[in-house]
Amino acid sequence: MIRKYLSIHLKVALEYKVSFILTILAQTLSMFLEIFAVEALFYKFSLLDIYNINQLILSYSVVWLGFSLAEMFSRGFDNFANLIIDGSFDLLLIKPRNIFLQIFGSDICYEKLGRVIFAFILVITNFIKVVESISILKIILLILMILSSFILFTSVFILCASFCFKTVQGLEVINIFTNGTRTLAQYPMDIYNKVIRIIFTLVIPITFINYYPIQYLNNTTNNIFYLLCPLAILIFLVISTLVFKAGIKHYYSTGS
Amino acid sequence: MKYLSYLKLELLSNLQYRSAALAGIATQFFWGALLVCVYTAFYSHTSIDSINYDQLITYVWLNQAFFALIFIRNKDKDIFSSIRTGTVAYELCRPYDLYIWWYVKLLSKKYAATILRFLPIIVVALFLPKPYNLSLPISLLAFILFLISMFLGSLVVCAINLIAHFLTFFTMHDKGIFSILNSIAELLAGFDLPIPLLPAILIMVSEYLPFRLIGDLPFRIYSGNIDTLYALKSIGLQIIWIIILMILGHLIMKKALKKVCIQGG
Repeated sequence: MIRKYLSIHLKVALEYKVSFILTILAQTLSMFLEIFAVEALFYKFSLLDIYNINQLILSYSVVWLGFSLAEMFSRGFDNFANLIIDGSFDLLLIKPRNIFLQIFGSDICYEKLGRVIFAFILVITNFIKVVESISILKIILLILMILSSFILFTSVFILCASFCFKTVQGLEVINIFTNGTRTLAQYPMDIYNKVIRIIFTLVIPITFINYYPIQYLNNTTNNIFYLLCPLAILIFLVISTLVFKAGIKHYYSTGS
Repeated sequence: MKYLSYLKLELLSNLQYRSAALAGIATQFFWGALLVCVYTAFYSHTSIDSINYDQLITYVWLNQAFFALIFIRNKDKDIFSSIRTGTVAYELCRPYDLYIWWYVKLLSKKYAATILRFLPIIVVALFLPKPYNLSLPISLLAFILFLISMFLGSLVVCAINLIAHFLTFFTMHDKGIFSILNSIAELLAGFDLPIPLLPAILIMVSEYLPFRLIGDLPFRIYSGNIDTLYALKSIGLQIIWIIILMILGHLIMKKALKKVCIQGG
């Protein structure tokens, strides 16, 4: 069923080839420029002798990779308001399949593919430079980091989608939440003061997907906790799923 | 005169979108706070010559307050659809200059959006606790020059915006090209990073292009990051660029319409 979803949306995307390729280019460019801005800032403030450049890039490219993957595969939650507004969410509810799977399948945004590939290349090349010796454990940790980053942003999308049950519209303001998380997460956590760091550990657990795992990757610590901390994201996923389910219970159709 | 009354009319109708403005204010305010966090973090490590902390924070808040005015990525659905569906043929019959007509349309949209948004952000930002707040203008003269260059900046951005619209007429795949053009323009306009924070080579490139004249210039005049003489020179430059861009836009429009009219038949 998942394979079917994937192939259908790919066919749709390839209907307009030139437009599709141009959009991929545009998306990748905008991401590149944002990354460039982060880099330029570190360069301008000559902080690059304090922060290891590869570690820095690895840190935010993991964020970007997870974010673009979430944008691509969790698009249904990202644009959830549309499902509610045009009433297609009602259709999904009737069908005898898992509702989450159906929302995931409602849209897959292949236009983010450029971003995913670009971020993936950054992750791999900088991972190799950050770890001095590659071990199985470190590769597993990297996979965990990428997965947890994807799960984190998907959870944020699910959480934001839950708001739509109440508001039906007003997605504009919620965009701040997703994009804001991404923007703040681009910078290394130890640059911020305590308050923000606590928010990013306890409220939106972004430090678990890059900051702590990288400590393990670059041999700063051997603590097994750092190896497993990406799994903490699962708690966030469970919470946002529960919120979403609670939202469905209180859902009234728009009637259209 | 007819353009002025059109401006008034459009302005009044655009002022209706109040709830959208409320969402806009919330967004802008949050982004401002976010950027202040990031820059505070950077300045707590070192400072740089090209712009000091207070000037930068002021820059951030002005940028957020006037975001609707300087926003390059405006997409006017009516202009796009009038070309695609061919209703532009009717517009061409009417006794006015289509370029100015569309120009006024974009401008009034911008002014309405800005009028609804800027004041709450400015007021709150002014009264924030000390290092994180919007400072008052450096002098009365700077404030007057700021107002002039902000106004001229809005004329520059509309001219650029229209050219971006016209360029997409040549291809039918508007989304990608429009976005690519705008991404580059935004970088050189200081949207991703204020111009003084860009690498030296990009600062040099931006000097030769009109994009920095939209928002970057007035904000830096306000905070005193640019001295009076350079400000006056740049205002002159704004006027020259407005003339160039409007003539260029006019020419591109004529060319684009020639091609499109056949399609719209």
